[in-house]
Amino acid sequence: MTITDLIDCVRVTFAFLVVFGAVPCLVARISPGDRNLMSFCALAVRTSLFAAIAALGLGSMRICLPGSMLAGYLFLFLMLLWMAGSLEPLWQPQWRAALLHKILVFNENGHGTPRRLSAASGDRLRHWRIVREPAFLLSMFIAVAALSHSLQYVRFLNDQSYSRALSLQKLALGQPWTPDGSVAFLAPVVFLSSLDGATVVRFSGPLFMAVLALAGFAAVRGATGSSPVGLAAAAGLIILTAFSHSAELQAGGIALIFWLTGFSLWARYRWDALWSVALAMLIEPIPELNTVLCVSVILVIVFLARFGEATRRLLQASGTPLATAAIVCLILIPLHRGKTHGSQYNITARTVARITREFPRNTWLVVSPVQEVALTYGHGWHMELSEFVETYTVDEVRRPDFSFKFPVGDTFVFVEKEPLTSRSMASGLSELGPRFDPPMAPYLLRLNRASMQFQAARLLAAYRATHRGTEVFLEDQQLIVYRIRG
Amino acid sequence: MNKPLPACLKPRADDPRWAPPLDVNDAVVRLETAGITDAVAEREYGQRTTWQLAEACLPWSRMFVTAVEPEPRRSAVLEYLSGISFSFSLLLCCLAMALFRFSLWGGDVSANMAAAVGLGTVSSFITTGGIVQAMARRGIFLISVEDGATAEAACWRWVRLGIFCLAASGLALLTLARFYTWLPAPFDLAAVAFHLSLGLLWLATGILHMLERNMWSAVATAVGTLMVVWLHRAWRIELAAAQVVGILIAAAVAFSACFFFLRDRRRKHGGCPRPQSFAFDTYIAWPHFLFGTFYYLLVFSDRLLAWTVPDIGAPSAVQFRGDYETALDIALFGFILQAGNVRSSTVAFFHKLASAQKQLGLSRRSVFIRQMKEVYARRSAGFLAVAALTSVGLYTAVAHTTLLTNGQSYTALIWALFGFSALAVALWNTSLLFRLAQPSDVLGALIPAILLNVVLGYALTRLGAYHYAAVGFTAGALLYAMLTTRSVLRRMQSIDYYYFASAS
Repeated sequence: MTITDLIDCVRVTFAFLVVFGAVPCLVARISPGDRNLMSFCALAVRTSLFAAIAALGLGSMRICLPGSMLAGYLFLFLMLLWMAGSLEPLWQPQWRAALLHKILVFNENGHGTPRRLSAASGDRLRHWRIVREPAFLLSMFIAVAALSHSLQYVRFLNDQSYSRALSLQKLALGQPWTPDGSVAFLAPVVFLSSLDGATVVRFSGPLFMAVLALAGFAAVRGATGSSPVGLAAAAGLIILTAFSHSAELQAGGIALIFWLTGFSLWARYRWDALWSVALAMLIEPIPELNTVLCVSVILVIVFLARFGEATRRLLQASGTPLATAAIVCLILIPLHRGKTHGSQYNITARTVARITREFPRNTWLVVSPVQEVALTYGHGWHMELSEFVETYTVDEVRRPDFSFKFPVGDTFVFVEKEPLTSRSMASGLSELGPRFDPPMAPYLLRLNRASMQFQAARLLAAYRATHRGTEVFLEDQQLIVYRIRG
Repeated sequence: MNKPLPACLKPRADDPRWAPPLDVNDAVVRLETAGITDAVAEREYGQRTTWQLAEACLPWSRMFVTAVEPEPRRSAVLEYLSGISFSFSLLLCCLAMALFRFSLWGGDVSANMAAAVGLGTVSSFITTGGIVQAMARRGIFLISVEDGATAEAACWRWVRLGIFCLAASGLALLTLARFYTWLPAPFDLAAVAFHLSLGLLWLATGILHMLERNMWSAVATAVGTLMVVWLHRAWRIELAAAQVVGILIAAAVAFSACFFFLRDRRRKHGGCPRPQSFAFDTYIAWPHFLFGTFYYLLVFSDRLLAWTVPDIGAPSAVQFRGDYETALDIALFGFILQAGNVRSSTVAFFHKLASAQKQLGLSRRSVFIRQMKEVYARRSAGFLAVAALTSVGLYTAVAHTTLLTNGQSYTALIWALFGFSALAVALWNTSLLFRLAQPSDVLGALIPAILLNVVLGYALTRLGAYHYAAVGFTAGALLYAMLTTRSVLRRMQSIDYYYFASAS
C-alpha cells in the first residue's frame, strides 16, 4: 500500500458518498415529503437511476463527459426547484433586492447568525436509527476489510472487473462504448474523483459491499421486524458473495443491492420499488446464478424467521457469529485466491499504475498482455504482447540499425520471468467455456502465454545486446520490465 | 418678483449647453430637481407652490439668451481613436510578435505551455473584468463630482480587492488543475503565474483607461516587451519565465503611472477622502461588476470549450488550439475596429439627446422620441455597415495570406466575424443602457447569451469538432445584440424619462 493508494481510496470514497449520499440528501431537502430512512433510500434509488439513464444516454452518443453530467445534474436540480416553487422568487425584483440587502448586511457585520440544531432536526435524526444497529457496524467493518484488500492489491481477481474498468474508462473519455449498466451509474464518481475507471472499480467494490450488507439487513429486518435476523441475513449474503466472486463485487452483486432495496421499499413506496428493480435490471439484465441464489437465500431466511419460532431463534443467535465469519471470509478469501486465481501479477498492475502516474500523458507505450489495457487506457498507449512477438523477430531486432520506431518517448516491455499460472487459466480453448473472450483467450492458455513471454524475453535480450538505450525499469522474482528510450 | 431668481433658472458658466426653460413644465422640473419644494418656494420665495414659483420666474428666465458659444466637441475621428485607444497595447504586442516571434505573452512555446498561457490569460480576464468595471464606475463618478481624494482611495481599495480575488482564484485554479490534471505539472504553475501577473496588469490598465490615459498602457506594454526581449535574448532565460517577469514589470510601470495620475487628481480637487463603505460600493457597483465578469465569460467561453474537447491522444486535458485561436484573433482585430465606434456613437447620441431636449417641449414629445429613434437607427446602421466592410475586408485579406491553413479555420473565422460584429452592436446598446442607468437590462441579456453560447458550443464541440465553438459564440453574441436592441427600443419610447432619471 502506498500513500497514493490511500489518497485514491479517499477520493473514490468521497465521490461515492457525494453521488450516492449527498445528492439524495440535497434532493430530499428540495422536494417536500417524508424525512426518514426509507424515503432517503427511495431518493437514492431515483438519483442512481437518473445517473444510470443519463450516463447510458450520453454514453451512447459518446458525450458522457464531466460537463454533460454536470449539466444533467443541474437540470435535475433546477427541475426539482421549479416543481417545489423555489425558483419563483428569483423572478421578483423585491426578492433579489432583499437578497442583496442580506448580503450587504452580512458583509457589514462580518458574521452571520449562528445556526442552532432545531427540535425538528433532532426529530429527523431519530428516524436514522440504523446508525445504532449492529448491521451498520458490520457494514463499516466490511468496508474496512474489503478496502484494506483493495489498498494492498492493484490487480483484480475477476476478468469481469477488467472489462468493467475498461468499459467505465471508455465511457468517461467519450469513446465508442458498448452500453453497460453495471458501470454507467459510476460515471459521476469517475468525474468527481478525477480517477480512472480501474481505480474507481477497485475502490467502489468494497463500498458497494458495505451497502449490500445494509440492503440485506434492511430487507430482512423490514420483513421480519428482527434486527438480529437481519444481521444474520446480511452476513450470509456477504459470505456467499465472498465465495462466489472472491470478495470482488461484480455486476450481479450491485444489482442485488437494488433487488433488495426494491424488496424493502415495496411496502411503502411502490413506484420507487419498481424503479429499484428497473435499475437492478439495467445493471444486470439477465440475473446470474449468484444473484438468484442470494435473493432465494434472503427469501428463505424471511420465510423461516416469520413462520418458524425455533429457526427464528436460531437465526437470531447466529447473527454475530455469521457477521464475524463474513469479515473473516472477506479478508482470507481474496488472500487465498490471490495466490491461485487472477490474470495478472500484482506487481504488473502496480508498475503500470506507477508509469501512468510518473510519466507525461501519451508519451509512453506499454507492451504487455491485454489485462493492462484497462489500466493504461486514456493515459498512454498499449501494444499487446502477442502482436509484439508476432511483428518482430530476433534476427531483425539484433541489427544495430534497427529501431522499433514507436512514436513515443518511452516504451515499457513487460516480460514475466515466471509466466503466470492460475486456476483461471486453461490448457485448451475448450476449457475456457463461457469465459472465452477473443482478446483475452491467448493469455488464458498456459502454454501460449508462456511461449509469448519466452519470445518477448528473447527479443529484448537480443535488442539490448546491440542497443544502448535499453534499461531495466523494474525487476523482481516474477517480472522484468524493460524501458526503451525513444 | 422681489426675490432673486433661483440659480437653476439662470445660465451657468460651466454649462455651455444651457438654454432658458421651454415652458412652465420645464421650469418646474428644473426647480424640483434643484430641491425647491413647495415648502422651500413658500419660505424662500414667497410663492405658495413650486408651480406658482415657476410661473412667476418663467418670463424672467426667458430673458436670458441661449448660450451662443458652441459646446466644445471633439471631432468624430478623435472620438473614434479615443475609442480604440485601449487596443494600442495589443497592437504593440502584434508588432513585437512580427519582429521577435514572441510578445509580452504568447509566442513559439510548447503545446502544454501554450495551454497554460491561454488558461492563465482567460482566467485573469474573467477574474479582473468585474473588478475593473466596478472600479471604473465608482472612480468616474467620484472624479466627475471633483472628489479626487475619494476616487484615489476607492481605486486602490478595488485594486486590493482585485489582488485578493486574483490570489483566491489562482489558488482555486491550481487546485482544480492539479486535481483534475488539466495540465501536467509544472505547467499548471505556469498558468497560475500568468493568471496573477496578467491580472495585475489588467487592474493597472483598467485605472489608466478610466483616467483616459491609454497611451500609458501602451508605454507599460512596450517596457514589458523590451524586458522580455532582453531577458530572453541576452540572458537566455526561458521565454515563459521572461514573459512573467516582463508582465510584472509592465504592471509595475502601469501602477506607477496610476499612482501619479490619481495623486494629481487628488491635489487638483483638494480635500480629504471621505469614509467609504464597502457595502455601499457593492450596492452601487454590483451590476457593473457582474457585467465585467459575464462579458468576459461570453467572450472566452468558446475558447474554453474548444480547448477542452476530449482527445484521447493529446498530451493534456486542456489543449491550446492554435488554428482556432488565429481565426478568432483575426476576428477580434475586426471587433476592435468596430468597437471604436461605440464611444463616438454614444457621445453623439447623448449630445443630440441633450440638445433636442432643450429645443422640444413637452407638447412635442413624440417628435423628440422620433428624432432620437432616428439617431439610434442611423448609428446602428453605421455599425452594421462598418461590420460588413471590416469583415469582408479582413476575410479577403486573410484569404490572400497563409495565416489560416485549413477549411475549419475559415469556417471558424466566418462565424467569429459574424459574432464579433454582433458583439459590437451589443456593446453599443450596452453603452446606451448603462448611460440610461438600466444595467438590469444588460445583465438580463448577457445571462441568456452566455447560457446559449455554452450550451450550443458544448453540444456542437462534443458532437462535432472544436471549431464549432465559434457557432456557439456567434449565437450568444447575436442573442445579446438582439435582447439589448429590444431593451433600447423599449426604453426609447420614454427616452426623456430615462434620461432625466439617469441624470438625477
